[in-house]
Amino acid sequence: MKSLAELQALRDSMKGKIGVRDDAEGNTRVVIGMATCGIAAGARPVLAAFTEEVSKRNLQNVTIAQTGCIGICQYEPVVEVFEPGKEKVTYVKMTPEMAVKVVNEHLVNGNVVTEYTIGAKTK
Amino acid sequence: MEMVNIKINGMPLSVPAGSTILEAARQHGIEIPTLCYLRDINEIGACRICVVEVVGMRNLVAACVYPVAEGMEILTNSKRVFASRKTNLELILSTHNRSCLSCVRSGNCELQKLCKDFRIYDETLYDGEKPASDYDDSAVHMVRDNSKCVLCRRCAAACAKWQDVAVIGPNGRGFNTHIGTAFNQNLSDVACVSCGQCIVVCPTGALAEKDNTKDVWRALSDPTKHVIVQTAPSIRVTLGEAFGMHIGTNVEGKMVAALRRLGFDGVYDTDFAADMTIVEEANELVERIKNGGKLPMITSVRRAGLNTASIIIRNLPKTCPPANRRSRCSARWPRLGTRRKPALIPRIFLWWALCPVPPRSSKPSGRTSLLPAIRTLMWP
Amino acid sequence: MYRSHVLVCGGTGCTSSGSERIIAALEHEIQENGLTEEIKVIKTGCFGLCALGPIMIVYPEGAFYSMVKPEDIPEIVSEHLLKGRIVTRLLYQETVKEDTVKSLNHTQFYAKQKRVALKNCGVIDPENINEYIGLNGYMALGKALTEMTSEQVIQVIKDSGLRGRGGGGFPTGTKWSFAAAQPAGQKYVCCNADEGDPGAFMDRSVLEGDPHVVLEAMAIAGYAIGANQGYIYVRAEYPIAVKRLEIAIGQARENGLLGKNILGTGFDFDIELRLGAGAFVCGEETALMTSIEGHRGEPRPRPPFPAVKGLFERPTVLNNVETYANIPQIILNGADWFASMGTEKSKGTKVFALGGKINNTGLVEVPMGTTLREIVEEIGGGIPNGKKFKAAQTGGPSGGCIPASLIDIPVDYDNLISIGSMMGSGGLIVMDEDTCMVDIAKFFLEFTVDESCGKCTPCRIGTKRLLELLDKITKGKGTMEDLDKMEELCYHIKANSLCGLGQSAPNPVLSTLKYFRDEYVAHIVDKKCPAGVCKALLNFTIDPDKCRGCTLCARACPADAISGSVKQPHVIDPAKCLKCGACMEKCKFGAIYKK
Repeated sequence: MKSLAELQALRDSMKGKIGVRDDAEGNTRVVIGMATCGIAAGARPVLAAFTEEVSKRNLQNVTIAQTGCIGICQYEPVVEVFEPGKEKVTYVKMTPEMAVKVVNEHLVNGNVVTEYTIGAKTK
Repeated sequence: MEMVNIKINGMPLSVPAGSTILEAARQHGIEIPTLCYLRDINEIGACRICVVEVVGMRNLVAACVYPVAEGMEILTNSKRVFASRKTNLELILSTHNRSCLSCVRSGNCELQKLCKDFRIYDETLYDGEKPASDYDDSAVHMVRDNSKCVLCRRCAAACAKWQDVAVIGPNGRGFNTHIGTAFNQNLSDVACVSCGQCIVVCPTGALAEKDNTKDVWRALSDPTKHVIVQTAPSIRVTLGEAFGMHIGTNVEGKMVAALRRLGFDGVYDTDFAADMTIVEEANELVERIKNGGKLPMITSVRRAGLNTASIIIRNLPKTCPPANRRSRCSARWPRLGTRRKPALIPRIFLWWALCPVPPRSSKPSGRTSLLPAIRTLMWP
Repeated sequence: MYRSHVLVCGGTGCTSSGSERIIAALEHEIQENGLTEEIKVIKTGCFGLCALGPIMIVYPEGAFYSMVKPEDIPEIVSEHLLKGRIVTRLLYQETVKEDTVKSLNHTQFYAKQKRVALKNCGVIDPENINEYIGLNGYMALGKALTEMTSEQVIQVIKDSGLRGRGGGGFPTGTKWSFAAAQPAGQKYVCCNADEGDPGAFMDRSVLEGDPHVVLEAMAIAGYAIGANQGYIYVRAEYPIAVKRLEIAIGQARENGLLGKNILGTGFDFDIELRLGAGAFVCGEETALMTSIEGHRGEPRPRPPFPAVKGLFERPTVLNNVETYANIPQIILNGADWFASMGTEKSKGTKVFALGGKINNTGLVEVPMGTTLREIVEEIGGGIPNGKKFKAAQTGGPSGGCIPASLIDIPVDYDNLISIGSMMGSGGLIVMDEDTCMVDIAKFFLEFTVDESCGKCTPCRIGTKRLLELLDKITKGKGTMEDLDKMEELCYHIKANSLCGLGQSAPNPVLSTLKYFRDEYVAHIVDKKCPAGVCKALLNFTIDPDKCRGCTLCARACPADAISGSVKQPHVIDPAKCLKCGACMEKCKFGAIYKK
């Protein structure tokens, strides 16, 4: 490493990779249903897509977690987004492409992708 | 020279900056007892006999190593100081072989003197386990008796710093620390050069020369023996010191007369053998050079030098051709012996008896074994 | 991109419980289940909750699995990693909530802790410099070299109030300023990693879990005082720490963070390792330097102090591992941040190694000023088996005990000294009603006697005599005069010894005498050991009412000291009894008791 700038660049690229090891409660939690129904419906690629996009955008304070059966099995893959101080948003029938959009629109720009939510689907 | 102002026992003094408390005190005639201290050679603050109080400090400090500072107030005679020094001495006594009556240093022992100065009334006060100690009389010239060692480390310091030989030093740790050679080998098996400096600096009877006085008396009282003595050059100017004369007084005449009165049949000067040796060595060297003999040729006047040479030779890299470079003339005393041997009368050579190491301390060490005998002859 | 990180503790404690096999099993199972692209397994340093090792944490959930065995791994992988169902039975029970995991930060063990020196331990892979850098590693060095002068660095450390964590508590900034004030020339920075106190493993965990923090801090110190060479003196009994340090130094050098022209600033600094060889006394600063110089590791008289004349007679800064572990964060976050933690005269946090009679043995880091009660009862989880707290020993063989009556004392440097103890390096041994305080004093003194270098009279001989007196007392042969003699000798050794080892060796004796004199008197006058520990003073007796005469005890006795016929109450002959306790273990009726 020849300069402080190089060190900073390395730090920034590593930060996203280690950030997951944090117990931070103020984080936005993106919880993906990974029970049998979820996996069967294709939740794994969705999870992978979220992970990749979040890391690509170097988003701090976002935790991607998995959970068991959420209960609305016909809507799997289901993704719930918990932002501190805001109401929970439930996205349903997710695909990897939709995941990328959710990251960019919702997590980065702060706009809920309404057409993906369960509210829109049950109408 | 920069000076600092201090107070010792309430007395304001001006002393050079960088002095130790001991140096400052001694400059002004204030005596502080010491045991392990040996100026320039052993200044380690180990024995804690020289402890003093510095006003404002919680603990006591060793005067021999603690440097003075501007405004320092020192107490060298307080009750606390006396009590501490005494306890340190009592602790040393608890591990000591206290058989003073049969000890060669009785009457001339620094530990004994401290006991007297500190009015020790119970030398068993802190008795308990005694550390294991060994007794090494493997060397031809001296005896090491660790049961009398106070671990002042003066011997190790003299051997390493003064003589650059460094064959003895502390081994082990804690209560079982003891002075020894590497891996506790015999002294005769290591590179000790028999210089005797460790004996000179030892404050107790832990290190002592081997004493052949009995053999000398036996020879002298044997009418069938013609006994001669060979004196080393230095003795004639150091012997007088042991009898209270000024250092360096030449007592050659008295020395020879006294030896004759003791009963020696002949008194010879080493110079004589030296002269012969020089001639022989020169011849030997010429012979070696002319006839392609082993070179370099190594010789020495003293046994110590020979030992050093042997060790160097032994440790030369393999590329150097090996030993046997010692001149056959090495060590003058056998030289004298071979030349002086009339046909049927055996000889006894008393190199050691009259060749103590010149004392380096300001007080004579009084090591000469025959001294008491000579004293009674010279001054009845 | 990994969606989940599995951290497995690779500290010495968990390694000896088999964490390496757990990692191997994990990697195997993850591969079997096709998860290698998704799950990352990392071997980290010590999490601190050593009593529950081997430990594993799965992120992002933060599921803290404890006492994991290799046989549990297939279940964890298939249930948790694959299906997202946390294996509750293996969780640290306090973190179990209905459908999720309670955050570790809310558990009793971690709630009151503040991990500053241990910030990265248990979080990063200590053998990967990139992970250290990812958490702002070496940024402090970069900041110091590019934005601060040496004087400013020293000023920040001074203002932070950081005091030496090795036990002395000397203000670190002041020490650095003394060395910096010496004329320019060869100077040295040393790290004391010879952690020798029995029961202390704070430094070990830092070295094993976050070695780079020490390297970075030493380089910062070098910049501050004008030194370009550092030495880490680490005890050889820490092989994992040695290995991690070697790897770290190598990686730092490869990345241009040690060596010549660091980060292009023209500042050179390099570090070498030196291993200790089994001498506690080499943790004393002058003995440590003497040892690095190649001589017998014995202390030298001070003054001169190392900051003026130290290693190879050059100005040297020597600090403890934990002290260094705080430096980078102080540089990055500022002096005020550090000073906002702790008490008025003891700033920051302190790492303690909790041991002895306590439920949560392990490593904790708390702000200075936390009370002993909080440490023992809350963080430590209290005394096992419902026993009563009796005392806590701090400072190891140099320290003293804090009795139950003072359990509400806020722990900091000056408070502990005022009650006759000392902070020491952080070992905190908890004792209950079954501990004999005379025996404890004897234990620590045995250690000091063994480790004394032997140079000065009061320590070499005095401590041995002190031990002999204590031994006499524990064997019921002591007199009240012995007690007085012992106390006098203690004060003598303290005031006359050459170095800190001797000066503090009598502390456990003096401290137990101060708070538990009655136990000493009981040993001497009553010839009894109230806690029931000192064997020579115990009498094993058979209660005739409970004894059924089954003869099991008589047959177990190695000394043939029990007599009695079948179905008749048996009797122990005290003259033959070896007090080994074998009979008590065999008796099914609880008829044998010792007192």
